[in-house]
Amino acid sequence: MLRPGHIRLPKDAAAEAERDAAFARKQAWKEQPGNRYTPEELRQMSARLGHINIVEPEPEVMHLD
Amino acid sequence: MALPKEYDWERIRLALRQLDTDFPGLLPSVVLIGGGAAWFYRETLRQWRDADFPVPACSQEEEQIWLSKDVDFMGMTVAEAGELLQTPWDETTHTFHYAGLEVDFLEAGIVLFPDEALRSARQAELSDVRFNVVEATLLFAEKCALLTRKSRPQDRVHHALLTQFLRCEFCRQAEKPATLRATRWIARARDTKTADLNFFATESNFTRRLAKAISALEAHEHRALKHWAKHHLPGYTE
Repeated sequence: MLRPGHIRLPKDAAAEAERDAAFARKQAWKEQPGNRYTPEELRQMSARLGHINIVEPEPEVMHLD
Repeated sequence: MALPKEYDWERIRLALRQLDTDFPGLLPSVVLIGGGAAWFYRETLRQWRDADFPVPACSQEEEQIWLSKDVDFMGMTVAEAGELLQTPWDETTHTFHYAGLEVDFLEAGIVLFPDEALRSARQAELSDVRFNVVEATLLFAEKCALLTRKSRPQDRVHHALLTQFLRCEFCRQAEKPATLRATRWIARARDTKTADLNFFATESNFTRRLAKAISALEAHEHRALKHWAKHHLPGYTE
């Protein structure tokens, strides 16, 4: 079940160290050759994307009648 | 482990569509975060073609580190995602391998948490797929926090992009009173200033254009924006 934001992840030293290690591992993976888009790949992706629209959620209206 | 060379947008698009088909309800329950979300904001800014706020220029080196090939979501735990996708979690890559896609599910960022990310998510609409994208101000705040606590090169370029995107969007929304939602605009401005105290004070072209737009607002429901500008926008006069 999703953890509510006000209940934070464990703050003990072991948990922090584990998160830091995972963060470093993930970054190391990103930095390996081939795991990032090249400038040319980014350009091609941009050209192929087509129209994008990022819309905001509509506010919920509370009807009282 | 390096990814195949042919990994590109078409493959991501196909994988997202496949996720949506295989697991109906998954995409509406998770939010795209991280560099992928920043990239969609970059493309949106590019398509706006606003002369005052172009996509920030990047050097060849910066472009090389702009976007990695993993896709980060928030809104589901790794255990939940593993049960759903029926695929093992790879500790090395910190991802699931699904349909050629590297998918990660993060439980928390530094200042970004799932409930707020889901509550405020925007929706990215493409021709054939829709998915949630983290609200730009939340991602901006996370990038600000990452810049102070970590030293990842990609965070600098994402931060520069989101700064430009938000400047452009604040102006564009204030310039369209018919669709302007004052309460939401002010909430975003407040969150942005909380993340970066000088956001509304450092770029004179931005503050001038924004001040002009707010000054021209006439509707009663936009008075709150004028009040906000008096206190937070340098040089603003009615």
